[in-house]
Amino acid sequence: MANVLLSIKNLSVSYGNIKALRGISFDIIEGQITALIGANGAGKSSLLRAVSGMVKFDGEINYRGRNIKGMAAHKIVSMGITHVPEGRGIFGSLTVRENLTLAAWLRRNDPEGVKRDYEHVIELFPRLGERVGQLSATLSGGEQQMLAIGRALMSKGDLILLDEPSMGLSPVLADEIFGIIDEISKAGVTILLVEQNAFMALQLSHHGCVMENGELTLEGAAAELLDDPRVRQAYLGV
Amino acid sequence: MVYISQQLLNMLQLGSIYAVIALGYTMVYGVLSLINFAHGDLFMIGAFLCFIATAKLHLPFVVVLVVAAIGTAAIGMAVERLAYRPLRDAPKVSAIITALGVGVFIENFTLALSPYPRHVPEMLPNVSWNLGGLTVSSIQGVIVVLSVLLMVGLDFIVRKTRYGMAMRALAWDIKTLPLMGVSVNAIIALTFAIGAGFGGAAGTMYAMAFPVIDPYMGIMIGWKAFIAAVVGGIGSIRGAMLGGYILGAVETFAAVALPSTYRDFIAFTLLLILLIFRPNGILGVPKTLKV
Repeated sequence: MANVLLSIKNLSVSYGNIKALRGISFDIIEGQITALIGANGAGKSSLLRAVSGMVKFDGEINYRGRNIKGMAAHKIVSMGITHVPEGRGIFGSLTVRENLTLAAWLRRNDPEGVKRDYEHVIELFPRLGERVGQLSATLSGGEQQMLAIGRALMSKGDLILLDEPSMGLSPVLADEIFGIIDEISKAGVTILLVEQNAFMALQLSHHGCVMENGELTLEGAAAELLDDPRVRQAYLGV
Repeated sequence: MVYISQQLLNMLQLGSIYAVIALGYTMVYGVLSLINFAHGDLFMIGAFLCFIATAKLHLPFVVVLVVAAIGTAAIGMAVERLAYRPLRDAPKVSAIITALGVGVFIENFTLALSPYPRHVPEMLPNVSWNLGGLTVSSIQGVIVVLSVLLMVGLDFIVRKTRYGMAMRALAWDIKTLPLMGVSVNAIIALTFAIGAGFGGAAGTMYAMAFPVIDPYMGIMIGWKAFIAAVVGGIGSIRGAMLGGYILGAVETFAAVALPSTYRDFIAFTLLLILLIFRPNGILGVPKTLKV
C-alpha cells in the first residue's frame, strides 16, 4: 500500500509581485524518488524552499499528515525533512569534517549513530575522506556536491529534497552522484529530485512531475513520462 | 629600565581592557557583519553593575565579575531581540543607525537613574609586590590574567565547540544554516550574549583600575576599542586581541614621550596611518562579496 509522505495542496509562492508558484498540488509516496523537472524559472527551487520553510507560502503542505505551514526551517529539519539547496550551500569557512558534523546538529543524543553515518559517508565518498581536515571552500564543485549529499545523510532525514545535484558536474561525476542517490533511495529514504537533466532524473525515479511557469503541467509514472511525446520534445530533445 | 618595564606593565593593563572590549565588537561583526555601536555603552553597564554589586550588595569579587558579565550579557541579548532582530533583513545602514540610537538610549537611561559619577569601592585588597624595582599591583595582575583567560576561552569556544562551529557557519551563510537544523535566532542571541558579557567583564576590570565611573564613560572607550578591533582586523578574534594591545601600547608610550593631552591625538593618528597601509587590519582578510 502506497503511503503518502508529503502532500502538497494548492501551493502558491510569491516574491513581491512575482508569482513563482501558482496553485500546485501533488503527493510524494514514501520510499519513492519523485523527479521534478522543468525549465529554468519554472518554480522548482521555490517549491523546495516552501517545503523546507525557507519561504512563506499559501496553500497547504502536509508532512506525515501534519501541516508545516508557518514552521521555522530548523523545526522542519527536526521533523525529518532535509534540503540540499541549489548551489550546495557548503560552509566554506568550515572543514569538511565540520560541515558533516554540523549537519548532525539535532542528533546530539545519538553519538554512535552519528559516528556510524560519518563513516558511511566517508566510505561512500572516499575523496571526502582524504580531505576531512581541509576547508571546504577549497573543494572542487563535484566534491562540494558530494559533501552536500553527505551532509544530508548526516541529518538522517526521511525525506531528502535535492536541488540540481548534477549542476556543473562532468557527465562521469553526474553518473556517480545519480548512482549514490539510487543507493540512498534503496536504503529507504524518500527523495524529491529537482533536475535540469530530465532524462537521467526520470530514469532514476519512480514518479515524475513536470512544471512550467509555476504550474504543474504533467504528472505520472516516470517510465510513462519518458515515453510521453510532450516530455520527449520539450525536455529530452528527441 | 625599571621605568620602561613599569610602562610596559601599564600598557598590558590598558591593552587587556581594550582587547576584551574589542572582542565584543569583533564577535558581533564577525558573525553578523553588524557593527554594534552600542557595545561601548554595554561596557558602561558592566561597570555600573559592578558598582551595584560592590557598593550596594557587598559581594565578593568573583561574584561581582559574574554578576556584571551575566547581567550585561542579558541586556545585550535584549538589545538584539528588541532592536536588531526586527531589522535583520533591512539595509545595513538602518541597523547601524539603530545601534547608535541604542547607545544613546542606554547612556541617557543610565543618566536618568544615576546622574552623578560613582566611585566603585575596592573589590580586592590592593597589594603591591616589588620585583627587582618593578612594582606590580594585584589589580594589574588580576586584569592581565583574567583577560588572557577570557581570550583563550573565547578562542576555544569559537574554534572547538559545536556552538562556535555554528557561529562560523552563520557568518558564512545565514540562509543555509537553518537547513542543518540550527536555530539562527539562538546562535545570534548567543553571539550577542558572549559579546556583551565580555563588555560587562571589561567594565568590571576597568572599574578596578579606574574606579570613577559615569554614564558617558563607554563612548570614548568604546570608540577606542572599536578602532582596536578594526586595526587588528575586525571579525578576527586574534586581531581584536592584537589591536587592543597595540592601542594600549601606543597610548601608554605616547603619554610617556609627550604631554598627556597629546595621547589620544597621537594614538589615533598612528592608527589612521596603519589603516592606510593595512585597510583590512593587521590580521583581517578582504571579505569576499557573497551574493
